[in-house]
Amino acid sequence: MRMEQARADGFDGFVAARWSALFHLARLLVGGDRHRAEDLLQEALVKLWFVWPKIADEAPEAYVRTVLARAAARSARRRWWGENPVAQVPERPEDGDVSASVVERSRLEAALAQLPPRQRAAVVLRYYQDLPEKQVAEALGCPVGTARSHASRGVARLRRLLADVIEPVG
Amino acid sequence: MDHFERELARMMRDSQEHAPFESQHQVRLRDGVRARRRARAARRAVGSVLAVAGLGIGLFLLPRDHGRDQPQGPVPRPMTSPSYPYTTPSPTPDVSPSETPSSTATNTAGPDEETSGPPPSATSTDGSATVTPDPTTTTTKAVTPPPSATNRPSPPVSPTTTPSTVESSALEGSADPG
Repeated sequence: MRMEQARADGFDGFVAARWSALFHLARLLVGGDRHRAEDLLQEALVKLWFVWPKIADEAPEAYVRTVLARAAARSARRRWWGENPVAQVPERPEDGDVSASVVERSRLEAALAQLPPRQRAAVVLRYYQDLPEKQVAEALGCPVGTARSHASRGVARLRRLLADVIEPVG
Repeated sequence: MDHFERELARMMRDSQEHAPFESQHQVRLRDGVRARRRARAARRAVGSVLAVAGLGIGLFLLPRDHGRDQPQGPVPRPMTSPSYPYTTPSPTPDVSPSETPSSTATNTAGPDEETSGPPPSATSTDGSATVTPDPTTTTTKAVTPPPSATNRPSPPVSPTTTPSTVESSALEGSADPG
């Protein structure tokens, strides 16, 4: 009973400390959908609970990251959040009381939503998590070359989608 | 990493907004853990039931297979075994009796005729005369011997006298009362 309580305390402490970062990662992986991101993170944390005694002292965040990335990459086959890709990125929101950061985030999430799930996961893991290609491949469960291809194709597409947001140098 | 990639990484980091872990998240997480625990228990129970059912079916079918694996009987003995006629008399009752005598007669006919048959030439018991009959005459006499030539027995194929002699002695025997 005491071990169970210690397990729950350790798990709750980890979740409370890392919830915000993990939620943002999940949100980027699904292309900005808050509800979908919350479902994905809850599912990953439930899985973490059952393996918590084994990996509590090792790398629980890496485990959650892998679960999130693989679930997001698989989500295209499920089609259970109803993502509808469009040819053009939606127009930027009306300027008013919204700040520039919110506008930038909206453009980024809209552009990420245009990518196929595996390309999006590879780009997020490579540039947001700053993981090397080998760890990206391990997280996605694919060869290194495949992960590199997904990331490069995703970035190439984002260049076109975000050309007006990120000005090329020179 | 070029300028666009650096800007992309910066946008991803800067877009993070603070999202505290609230009590509703905790409650939902607990519910998810309980539901998953129930699902795992149900899956384990179904697996156990399937395992027990499979084991029962296996044990039910095992004795039949074991009995089927037993040998059917003794190994058939070779054809030259002396006990062969006694081991399988019934399967071919019509073939064995007919084949065995015919084969025996065929195999023993030659030697018997050659060794134990009556010699073509015979010597009379009294040694008075030895006649080597003509082959045609001998054959004729052997087939139809005289019904009562003499009192003493004589081999049927040993005519030792000429036909005239036989006739005279027969007349003498029949006439003599003593």
